[in-house]
Amino acid sequence: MLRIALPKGRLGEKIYKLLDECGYGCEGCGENSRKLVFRDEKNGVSYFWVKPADVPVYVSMGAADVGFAGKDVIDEAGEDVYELCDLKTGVCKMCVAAKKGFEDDFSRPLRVATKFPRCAERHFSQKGRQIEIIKLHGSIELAPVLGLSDVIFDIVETGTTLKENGLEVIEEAFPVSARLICNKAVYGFARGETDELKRRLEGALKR
Amino acid sequence: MQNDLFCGGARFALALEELYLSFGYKPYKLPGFEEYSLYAENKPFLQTRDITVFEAGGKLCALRPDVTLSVIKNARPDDGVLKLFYNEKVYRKERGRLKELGQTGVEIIGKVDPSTEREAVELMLRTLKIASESVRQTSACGDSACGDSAQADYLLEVSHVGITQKCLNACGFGGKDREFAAECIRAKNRHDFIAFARGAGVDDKIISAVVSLMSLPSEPRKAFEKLSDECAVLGVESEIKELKSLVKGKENIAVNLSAAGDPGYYSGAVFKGYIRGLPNAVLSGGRYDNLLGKLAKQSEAIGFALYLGELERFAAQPKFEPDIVVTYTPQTADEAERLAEKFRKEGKRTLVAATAPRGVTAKIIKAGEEQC
Repeated sequence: MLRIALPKGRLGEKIYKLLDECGYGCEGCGENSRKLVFRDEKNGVSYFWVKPADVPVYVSMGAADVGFAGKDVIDEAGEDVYELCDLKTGVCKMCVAAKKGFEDDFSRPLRVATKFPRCAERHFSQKGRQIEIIKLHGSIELAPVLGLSDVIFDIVETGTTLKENGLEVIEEAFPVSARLICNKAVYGFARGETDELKRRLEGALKR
Repeated sequence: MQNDLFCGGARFALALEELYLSFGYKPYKLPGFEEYSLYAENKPFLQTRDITVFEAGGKLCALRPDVTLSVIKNARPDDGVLKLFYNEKVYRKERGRLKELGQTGVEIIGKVDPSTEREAVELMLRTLKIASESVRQTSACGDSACGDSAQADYLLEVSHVGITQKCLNACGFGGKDREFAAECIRAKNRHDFIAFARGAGVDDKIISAVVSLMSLPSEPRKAFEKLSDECAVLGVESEIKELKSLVKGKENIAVNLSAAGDPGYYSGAVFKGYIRGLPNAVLSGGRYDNLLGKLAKQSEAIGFALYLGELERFAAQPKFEPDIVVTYTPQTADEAERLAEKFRKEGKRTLVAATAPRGVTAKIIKAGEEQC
């Protein structure tokens, strides 16, 4: 039985549809319901719907064998897991954005508003830029507008929200898409199952 | 073996001690703290940034986060080889909380020839076998994909620092690029590695060779066949020969080049041990001549550690219930003591209390009255 952690929301629903096409369907799993655990003996899978940011924790702690999460979530969690496949879905970019016409003042730390403090720390430390992190949980675009931060470090899909708030991308940090992650011990003991899942997903993505 | 990890792991520790003694290894005892500088200079080896520091007599000391560094610091191998084992506590932060964790391990310092390396691998496998027997009752695995009882109960993954380093050399990566590519190899992240290497202008043949090493077959024979195909491109013949010699004739071994450790410390084969049903590696080790070099010791070394904290976290909890509870009143206290002694002589665990604890399932006997 392969235990799969799916992120709640649109991305998870899209991924489940792909899994269903690959022969990993599970009755009731794709339907709107408050139920969080689904199991299908015939296809040898059980699914858990979890908060997207928690998927890497479920996998690394062994509550799930594999899971699906965005690259942003994986890097932010910093869990010790294998990243076996890029699903090329949920594609966006992690970017640094600021008010139009922003000029960096190198005489003081850069104030960065973000939901991803770990990724932001890493990005700016690689550049050697000292920063001050302002951790927010949503509406990040508001921070530079209200003078709370100099820049934001956030995922950008189309750039419409940025534009509507008078912001623009000043740097692209890394590309983001959904990935298949796997517990390291599970990879060792259940190589056949994890390889088969990866093979079928890659096959479906090529179609 | 009865699971006793929760009652101090006495039987478990004894089984490991007997194993190491049977190979002629000597026990090694250490204090629980060291001078902070020893750890501060070697944080990447410890894989932790969180060290608990305190001041003692004008010296900055630290609660020991790892045993290997302390053993090396004090080791005097002379001309021969020092074979040691330990069973100590270490103090590390896990998910933001300081924890006291048990660690048992083996260190071989001095002349480490291929035969000594093979002995170390054999000890790792036997250590994992004993550990897996101790946690066999665990329910942590549930109905996981790795819960098939027909499979091995434990697995030792072997890698080689030299192979990963030669992969990175062949790509021509240095600095931050090298760190990123190494991280991709560790995470089996083929997609990001390919995009990054292509962007850096790395030859397609080299990219293809490195990518194929990230997903080697788990069976050693097949893995070595595939590795041999990439020899010419990456120049890893000597490393493959070394690994082949190490695992020859041994079972429950898988070749996994993503298991490689920090090249600043490790200099050859690197190992990670897993137990079926537990989510994290319980054993870690390798050939660490480079660490000795950093501590200004011109010698060779190989060793491994078993993380008892990982085992304790997932082992089934045994019940500590008495067989009999003898209750008493002020008038029957003497009779209760007499009765309890009688039962203990009969080999029964007997608790004496004025009133029986809530929820106790043991037989309750009121001193001076009929049995209940």
